[in-house]
Amino acid sequence: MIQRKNKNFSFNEFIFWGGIWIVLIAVSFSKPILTYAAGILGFSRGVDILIYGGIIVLFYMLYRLYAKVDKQQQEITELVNRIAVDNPKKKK
Amino acid sequence: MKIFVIIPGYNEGSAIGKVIKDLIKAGYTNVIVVDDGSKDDTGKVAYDSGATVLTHIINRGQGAALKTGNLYALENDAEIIVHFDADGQMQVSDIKAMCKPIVDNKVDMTIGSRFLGKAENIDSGKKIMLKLARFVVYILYGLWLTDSQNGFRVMNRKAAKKIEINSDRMEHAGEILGEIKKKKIRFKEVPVTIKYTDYSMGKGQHWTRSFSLGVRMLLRWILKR
Repeated sequence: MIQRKNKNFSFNEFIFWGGIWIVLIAVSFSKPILTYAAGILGFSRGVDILIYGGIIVLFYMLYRLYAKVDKQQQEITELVNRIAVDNPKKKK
Repeated sequence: MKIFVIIPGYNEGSAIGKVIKDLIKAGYTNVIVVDDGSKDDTGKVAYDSGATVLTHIINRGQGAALKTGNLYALENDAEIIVHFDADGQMQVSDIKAMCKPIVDNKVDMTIGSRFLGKAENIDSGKKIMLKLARFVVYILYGLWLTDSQNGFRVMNRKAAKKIEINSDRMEHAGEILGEIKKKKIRFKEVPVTIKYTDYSMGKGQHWTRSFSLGVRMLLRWILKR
């Protein structure tokens, strides 16, 4: 919401993330769906799915974030390299 | 032979002037200083001393500075590229011996070794750390060197073109060795003298920082698999 207010997200992105959150919240509160899914995956409790799933998603996002930061760092360096090489200060 | 001497400098204003003047006096006229976003007058001192100055608008680390230097040298038809330190630890007189095997076309790259040569006034903590670093470098990069963390390197065009430096900070020393191994660059270690002074000891890496460097190198290696 705050992101939306700050116009960091476009309207479509807002709908997309909003949708995901609503689905997640709905699923979290509906015991039958959770218990059913837990049964398939072999967990005894429905909540376990949320916890394990949450951890997996978080780690994946952390990994993606790390990869992205690393790439951006390299791009910044390339930019700095290029600016430096193109503007040598040289005695005539 | 067109020789380019590349000196990365970050806040080295008080020492870099003498190094540049010594180099020029010895006949190395293409001195390139990469001012890595220094907060002091490194760039001005270097320019006044007669070097060509390339300026990083923000600090990106020594690896990035060497990358800039190599890029500039290659674009300006350098035949031989020398990596040299700004703090006055390295001896200008060693450059000749470092270049010789390359000029004779025996190897494409030489790496200075303070343990084949001399390390004056080295403190024991640093010595132990450097000797440990050999094993880390051997395990990670498969190269056994007597001095794996020496920043004194000389390479010809061919080697400089092959070597890709992607680590911005201090990990580049290991990374360059990895590139040598991977791209099968012919190399040789050459004895050099490193003179530690109070100034360079204060500037150089404290050995505890070398430890965290080792950890970062390991991390990078794992992620690259």
